[in-house]
Amino acid sequence: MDSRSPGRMPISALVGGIGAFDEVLAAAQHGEEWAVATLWRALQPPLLRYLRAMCGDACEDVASDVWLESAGRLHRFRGDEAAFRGWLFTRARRRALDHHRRAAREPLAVADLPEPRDPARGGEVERAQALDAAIALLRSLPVDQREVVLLRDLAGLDVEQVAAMTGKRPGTVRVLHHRGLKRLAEGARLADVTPATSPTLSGHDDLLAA
Amino acid sequence: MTTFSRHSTGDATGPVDPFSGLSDAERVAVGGVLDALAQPRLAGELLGQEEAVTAITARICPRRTRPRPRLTRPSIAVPALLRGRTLAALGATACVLAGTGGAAMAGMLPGPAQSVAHRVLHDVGVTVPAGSGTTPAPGGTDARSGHDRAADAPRNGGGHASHGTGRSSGGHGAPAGNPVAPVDGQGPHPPAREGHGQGRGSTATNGQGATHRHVPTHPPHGGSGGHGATHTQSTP
Repeated sequence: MDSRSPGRMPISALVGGIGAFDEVLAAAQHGEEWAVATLWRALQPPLLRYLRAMCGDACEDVASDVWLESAGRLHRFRGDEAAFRGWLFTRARRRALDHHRRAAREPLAVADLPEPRDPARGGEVERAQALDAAIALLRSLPVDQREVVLLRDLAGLDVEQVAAMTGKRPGTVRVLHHRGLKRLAEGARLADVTPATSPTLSGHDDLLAA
Repeated sequence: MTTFSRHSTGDATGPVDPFSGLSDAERVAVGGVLDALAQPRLAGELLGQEEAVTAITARICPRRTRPRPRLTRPSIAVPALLRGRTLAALGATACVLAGTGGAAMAGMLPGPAQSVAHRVLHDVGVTVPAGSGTTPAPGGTDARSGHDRAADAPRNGGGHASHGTGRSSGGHGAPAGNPVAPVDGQGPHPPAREGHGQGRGSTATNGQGATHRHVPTHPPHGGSGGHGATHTQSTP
């Protein structure tokens, strides 16, 4: 387990000893702000990165919609932390699909391309550039491969969760994951990906067919 | 830069290893991409936390920010079964009333019922045919025998044979339903249905078999020896 990964870090570790995930979830379901803030701080970064890779510049708006939709149904959720991640990313995926349906009817604008972050803090500049480069490289993948790589390696979902979420068989998910990583490695090795690199959006139509 | 092993999935023993077939250089490269993707959160990713948490909390518990007024009057709960039966009863009643009204308008009700309908609906301004029990049929179609009628009619005084004497043609009574036309005993006669006067009875009472409902006593030609004319007069 990578404790640095926001997608795989246990929420209870982010809480700082206040309580386990169940307690945080129960408090959030009762509308306690500290619990809601804990969940948001733990899951907003991977959610935002996933949506950046899937939706581009509209990621923040889509993320807000995902949170608000999830908040309206939070009282119905039952499950552990892994299930909660899958539950949240399922909504994120649906919202991403909706975004792509709308974007497919609109001409591609420059604003849809990922923009390099310009963090003011010194230590985060390189990290932010590396993140932008990684997302740009991910966006060059076909959508189904990109989606599986993101859900597996960013959101931390297992094969069965991704298969249930995407409506594919577990074997298909494994194959897509393997092909996505191989293609990602080839792209990273052959090209010196910089944040200024414009990823192609040709794979968006594939998502609609998925 | 970390190695790819940190990103190996827990189910790498499955049918497809995600990192199989990759050279060492590719593994390092993809490991770097995944490291960058899964790095700790950036400060810019947590911008707007307060607003987001407030909005989410408000969505989770809308009652805290916008209490819903409670209804003061409970709704009247009528069982569905009762509603169904009531509707069925009302529908059946409406059908019966409509059918009865239609039959009354057409005069198809039985006599007493038609009379009642006529009387009741007449009061409210609706004209329906009267029943046979109240209004006599025009023309006195009620053909009863002369003998029976004789019992109804006031007997004429003796010696004043009002009907049928002399040469009265042996029982040719006036046809039923001819209200006022005096029938000459010698005229063209429809076939008499009843009554066979002998023409001699001076005290014969209505022996002609004519149809009478109210027969006024008027000696047709005075005294006996008349021509046996039969007067039939119906009064409505």
